[in-house]
Amino acid sequence: MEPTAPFDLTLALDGWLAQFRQKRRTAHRWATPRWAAHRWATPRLRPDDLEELQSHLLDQIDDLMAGGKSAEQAFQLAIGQLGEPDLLAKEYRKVHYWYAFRQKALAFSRATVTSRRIAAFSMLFVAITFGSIFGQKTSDKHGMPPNKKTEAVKSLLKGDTTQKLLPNKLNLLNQVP
Amino acid sequence: MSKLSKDLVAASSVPIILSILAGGEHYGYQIIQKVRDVSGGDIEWADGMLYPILHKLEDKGMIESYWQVSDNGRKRKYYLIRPEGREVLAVERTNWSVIHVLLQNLWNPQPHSI
Repeated sequence: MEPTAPFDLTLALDGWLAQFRQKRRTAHRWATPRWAAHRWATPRLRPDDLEELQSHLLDQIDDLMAGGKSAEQAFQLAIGQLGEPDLLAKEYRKVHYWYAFRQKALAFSRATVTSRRIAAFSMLFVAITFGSIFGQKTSDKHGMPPNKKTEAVKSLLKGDTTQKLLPNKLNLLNQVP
Repeated sequence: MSKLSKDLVAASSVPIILSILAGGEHYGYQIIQKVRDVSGGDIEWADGMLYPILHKLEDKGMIESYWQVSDNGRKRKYYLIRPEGREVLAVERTNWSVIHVLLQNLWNPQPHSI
């Protein structure tokens, strides 16, 4: 049996507070790929609020430990007493509505820029792929070069009057005052 | 004595907080400790819920706050009541007194009042 690591209060506190630094993917889970999740992530609480909560937890943990609890027991009791994290975040959001809204808007714009880049690259890829496939097929099927216009122009210029008259036309144009 | 209902605790939170701050500046944890002590444990707040209420009162201009580093090096946010908060507290006191008197009269009817 492996020995259990000693309880690290600082690490535990940081871990608990981290859930308020980033929003978990819930509402956009269906639409956001895992690798892009961090672009939707928005802080749920302001840095100031996190500092205040941390200070509160540390005060309570000190009191509980002074009453004979171990660091781990004190930590568990303190976070339990603080309340359900989701409910807490919801209450904070009600008060700091504009902060939450701004963070969401920023996250949305970041995600939109990414989506546009992805869309542009996808369209380019599709265009190149389809162009090469169908361009090749047309040429094979009819036994003709892909650009008919170029060939038609070339045939017109080959040995017919158009080619002979062209220098004369250019001279006439030069004579116009 | 049974615990107070959630609704009653929520409704009384503003006058309780303002009353405590009227007695001097406090930080969040101190306010919670004071409520626990004075109520004898009958009022149980989810501690975290205090802070959004404090921030709401601050937004409304009833209280103000400042950060201070304590002797043990821990940063704490202190709250103090503003004159606007004292006015709101005076109104709250009147309202709660009216309710208190009303219920007292209903539960302990005096012969001349019925």
